[in-house]
Amino acid sequence: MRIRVLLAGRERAVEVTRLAPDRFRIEVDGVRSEVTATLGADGSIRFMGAAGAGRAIGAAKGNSRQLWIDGRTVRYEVLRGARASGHAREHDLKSPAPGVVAEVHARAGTRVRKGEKLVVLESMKMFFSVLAPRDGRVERVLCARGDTVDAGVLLVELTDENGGA
Amino acid sequence: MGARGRSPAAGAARPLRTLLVANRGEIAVRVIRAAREMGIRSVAAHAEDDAGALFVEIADDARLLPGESPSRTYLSAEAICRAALDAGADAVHPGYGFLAESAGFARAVREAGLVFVGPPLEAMALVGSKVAAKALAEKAGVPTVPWAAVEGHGEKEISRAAAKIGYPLLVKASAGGGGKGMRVVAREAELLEAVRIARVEAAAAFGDGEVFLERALSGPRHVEIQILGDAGGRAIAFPERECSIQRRHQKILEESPSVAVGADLRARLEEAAVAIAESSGYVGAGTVEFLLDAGGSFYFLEVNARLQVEHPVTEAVTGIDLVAWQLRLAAGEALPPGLSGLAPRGHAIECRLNAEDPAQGFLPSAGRIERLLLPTGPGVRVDTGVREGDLVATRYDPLIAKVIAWAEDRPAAIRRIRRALRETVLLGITSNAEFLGALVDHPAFARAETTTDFLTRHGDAMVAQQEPRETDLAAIALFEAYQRSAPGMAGGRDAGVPGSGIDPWDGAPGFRCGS
Repeated sequence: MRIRVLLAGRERAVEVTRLAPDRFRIEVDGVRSEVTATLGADGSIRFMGAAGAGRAIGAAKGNSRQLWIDGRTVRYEVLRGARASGHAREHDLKSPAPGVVAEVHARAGTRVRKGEKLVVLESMKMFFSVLAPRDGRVERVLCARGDTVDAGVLLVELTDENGGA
Repeated sequence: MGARGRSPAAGAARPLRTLLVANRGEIAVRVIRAAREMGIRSVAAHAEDDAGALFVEIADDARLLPGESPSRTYLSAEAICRAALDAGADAVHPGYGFLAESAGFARAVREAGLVFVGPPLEAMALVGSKVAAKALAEKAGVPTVPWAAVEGHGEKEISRAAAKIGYPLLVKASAGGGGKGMRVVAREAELLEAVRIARVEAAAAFGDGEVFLERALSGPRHVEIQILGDAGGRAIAFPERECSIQRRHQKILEESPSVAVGADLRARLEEAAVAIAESSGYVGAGTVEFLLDAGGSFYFLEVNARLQVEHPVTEAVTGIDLVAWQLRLAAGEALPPGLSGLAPRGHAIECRLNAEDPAQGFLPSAGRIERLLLPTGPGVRVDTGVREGDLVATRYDPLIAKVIAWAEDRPAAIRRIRRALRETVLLGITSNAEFLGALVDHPAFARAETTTDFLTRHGDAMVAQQEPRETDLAAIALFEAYQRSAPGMAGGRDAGVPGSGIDPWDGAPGFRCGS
């Protein structure tokens, strides 16, 4: 997911991908790094990565943020609205709840119709079918049978049928 | 027992049973705690908007002061006395600010047959006027900053007196405080106009237009001596506090002892403070303020006839509970001999965590406290009157919490207060937390170059916006990712994205299985 913020008077963009429940890939100005992070019961975030380790606690009000990071409080605004091209992520398929992947029907490179069953998720002893939100082509399959997934994680990447991302 | 309204004589101690606290916030909490430790019932008298406040919650009993503006609640002697009688209180503690130094309030409390936890009216009158207090100090043989009265003098006489004092000088309000009604005069041409304006300001702010002239010392330190007096006419003094670091003439960091005060100077300061206290018939807790110049000469400034915000630093280096002593002295107890002449043990520093924006001239800020984590650990004390979720209103004092650190010596105390401030999380409102952090990190503070112009000289560096660090964007990305995948978990009380209509999974973090 792409986050755009106004920080110290400058617009900054960060791309964050959740690789595992406690592992994230963060890309800033073309530089990628991996960060391990956990969310505590009190809402504090512990993180460790190549750039450093720390603890963060935040508060949100609308798009305004105050983020305490190891004794300093950083203020920023989240910028929303017009997304940059190439990040039409709203078409991707995400896990609706935490669970275990029971079936994978999607295959990379194949064309799918809207409503087609792509993944079946088992959660709380129930099975949920995850359906294609529209016609398109499966770009990548990001899960396999037996995987444990959190709510909101990316399962399948779709592209437009005519090839546009 | 017929003279219930008067201060009881020493030796005729009459324990207090029920204490009404005529204040709010951290000081009300502080007083209620002291009362509880002494077995005294406490009553919180509060305005409507404080109904859910910590001090109301922890008090044994509470009375609502009806009305919205502070003039009808915390500033209304009548409403407070009525609440005290209604709750069956036998004493009233005024805290600091509001009516703490109002002779009218003290009189009203005593006329209602209640004990006023503060000095007698005569002492209040003597020290409440700066001009009267200066005369008192001079009579007690204590040096004062060269000054001259203005009342009853013509323009020529005022100019002549000013020339004798020398420029730059200050025009100050006799009834004043907190920098109100005070003007700096750099040269003679500005003098008479400054006197005229200061008189108008003083009359408007304090109901008393008396002003006087005083020499403006260059680069002094502000040191003050805590005193306690008993009804038997005895007063004792405690080691000095240094409170030179001020913004808009209001203290922001206080410490004890002062690096500029050695044992010999301390003894002379304490002696001067005791002389002033005893000659005014002072009973209870008070503070005698001095200016200390670079040469080690000190000058009497004024007396604060109340408990002060910064009293915990004295408590830290002496082990004395000043609020408990206020209550004992108000009940007529005598001071024991062992309490005086204490040498400071270790070093204490207090920082005032305020709801204000240092980048905007310390403009008070308001709002809901979304997150509040206060420091703990060895040598750290926090006095506060708020909790997470509380609303902070600009109609009251901006003080959120006092963070006090004690350690063996000053460098260790600086390390400790720095650690405590780093632990402090205060989100939802704008605070001076980072400003305080930069202040205690400043090399000039480490070198104890703490004169009253400290923030004028170094303050800009402390409000300068810091460059984001490398880890900041990673922390931001993580916060936003958690915020969207688990709303309410990472974002405090207002974690949602109101009005955005965004599906919680839209833009949620990606997941690559099997990696």
